[in-house]
Amino acid sequence: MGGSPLDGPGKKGEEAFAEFLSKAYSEIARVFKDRKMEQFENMAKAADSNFQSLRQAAFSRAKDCKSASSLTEAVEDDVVSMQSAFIKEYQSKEMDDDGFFTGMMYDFRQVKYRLALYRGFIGALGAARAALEKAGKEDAVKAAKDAGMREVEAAKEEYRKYVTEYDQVASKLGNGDITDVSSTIMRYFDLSHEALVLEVPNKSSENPRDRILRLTGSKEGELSNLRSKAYHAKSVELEKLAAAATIAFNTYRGAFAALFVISELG
Amino acid sequence: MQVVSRNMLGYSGYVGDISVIRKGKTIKFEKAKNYDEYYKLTEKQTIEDGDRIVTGKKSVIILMGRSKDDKLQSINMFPESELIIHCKDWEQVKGDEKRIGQEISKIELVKGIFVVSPAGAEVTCPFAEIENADDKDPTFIVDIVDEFNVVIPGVKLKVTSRATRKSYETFPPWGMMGLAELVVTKSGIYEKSMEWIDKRVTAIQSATGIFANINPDFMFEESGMEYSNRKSKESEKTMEQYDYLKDLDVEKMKGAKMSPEQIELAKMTAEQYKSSGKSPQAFALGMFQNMDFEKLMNMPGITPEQREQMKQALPQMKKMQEEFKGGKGEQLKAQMDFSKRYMETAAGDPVIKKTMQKKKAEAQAALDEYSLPSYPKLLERYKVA
Repeated sequence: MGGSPLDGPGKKGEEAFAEFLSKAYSEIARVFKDRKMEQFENMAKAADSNFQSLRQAAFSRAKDCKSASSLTEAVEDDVVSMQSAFIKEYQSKEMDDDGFFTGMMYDFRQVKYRLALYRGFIGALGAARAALEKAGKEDAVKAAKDAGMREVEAAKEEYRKYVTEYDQVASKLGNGDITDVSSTIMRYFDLSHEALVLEVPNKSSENPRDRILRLTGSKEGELSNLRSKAYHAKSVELEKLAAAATIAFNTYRGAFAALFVISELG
Repeated sequence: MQVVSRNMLGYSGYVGDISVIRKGKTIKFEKAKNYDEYYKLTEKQTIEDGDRIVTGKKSVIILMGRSKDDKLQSINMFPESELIIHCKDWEQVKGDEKRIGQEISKIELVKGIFVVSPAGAEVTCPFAEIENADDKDPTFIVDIVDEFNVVIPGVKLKVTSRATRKSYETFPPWGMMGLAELVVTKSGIYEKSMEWIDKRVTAIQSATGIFANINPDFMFEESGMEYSNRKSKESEKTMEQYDYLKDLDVEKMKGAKMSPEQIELAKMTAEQYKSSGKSPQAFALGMFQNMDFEKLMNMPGITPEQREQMKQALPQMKKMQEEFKGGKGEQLKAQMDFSKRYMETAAGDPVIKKTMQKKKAEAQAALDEYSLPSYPKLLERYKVA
């Protein structure tokens, strides 16, 4: 890992995010075990172990953040395949158990969100590590902070793009109930980001994962609301945009969590 | 020692006729027209240890306390209810900072309906004593009618009959309120759950969520955020009286035989005023960051007592000043600027306005139409203790 000052705190953060994702896999495996769907239980376990073996590589190569992101793509494929296989199985066996189906869809979403969190964190941390190595001694910390912030900004704009699009599509539908939620996210978009930026210099004993999850918990609720409004409005376009916005939001907040680690450099 | 927080016994809002009976005298709560009046009233319309509080028809009050271990205590009194409240003072010292407060120590429910989050306070009603029997702090509802007291638990509670001293512990299904009820009479305890829950309990449960919205935002046209934003603008306006500082004439001051320290202070004040953007908080912070406290102590007009007090506080002030001169001061400035913009945005947020109006209408309708069915005859088969 090359002895970067970010390695120690970075590794702790990485472990926290990885543990979070692993828990989502375990939950899926547990439900399938209870349902005696061994093939699916094994798929969840295999996806987790695939992730575990990629983790080390992801972290050591994180200074090249493009590589880090491409590493997580393989893990993403696992969950997409598992979800498709489950839907097929559910339909072919005519299971007719709404609670089970909805619960599984929730669990699959959790994996995707937590993977995005992981990717965001590792990407921004990697960018900062690369900048730290490249820069001269005097401006190394500033370079690392700037590099981390650039990753956060990029992720933020991606997240903004989907929410804006959602808001525009919802406005065309003329459904005030939906636009109330999306326009609220838009209205406070930059303020919410600023609030997080102001939080960065504060000392905290929490690990970066818990800290970012706590600080962005209400936003998570708003995004979940976007999804449910789209579902009730029976708009596939809005549902897709809500899903993309939530993934982008998680990448953004994962990247932001790396700023907490980078700020420890001083 | 600096008192950093005060958590006194009080209320978060009220509507209708509220009376406080204190040492034989009845104090009727006045109706405020707006936030300005409300805050003035809260200074004189206090809640004190031993007060008997009575709500009239279509009247609700939410009483609040905070325990020493920082838990929020609340009692939501429904229309035509009555209780006696007891409290005790506490103080907590950490370093050179002190927190003071009053926690509710005992709640004597006399009649009516209450949503109680006691967080450690003793709770009694005419026929029963209620204690927490769970790890979590409970919130529960109590309905006191002539023949019995009904307890609607949210988590596991221990309810003791005052007449028989027999106790019973409830286990509400899935920890949800409104799915179990305990009825305490003079002779025993009865339990009903799930489909046997009385219609009156269900009706109370529905009203609970709506009455929880009775706060000053419900009482006035202007929301709390709009009020704060207005006050902030007003305080900026009052800063304008110092506009003359922009054109401070140092030569004139010298001519007026002002001391060099006074002239320096005036110059610094003018500079801070210019850079404050008329924000009183930014002005105060700038003054603090740049003040030469030693010179200030020796300023003409400072009394020997004041000088002595300042001398004692000097090391602490200098320490704080150093902290605020660095990144902490910049962060605080950024935080103040952010809070101002956030408040402006929230004050003009049409979605918040719409949501609040909806909640207000719901709460008003719930008050206007407030009427509950009676309990059916209590059957012996529900007796548990």
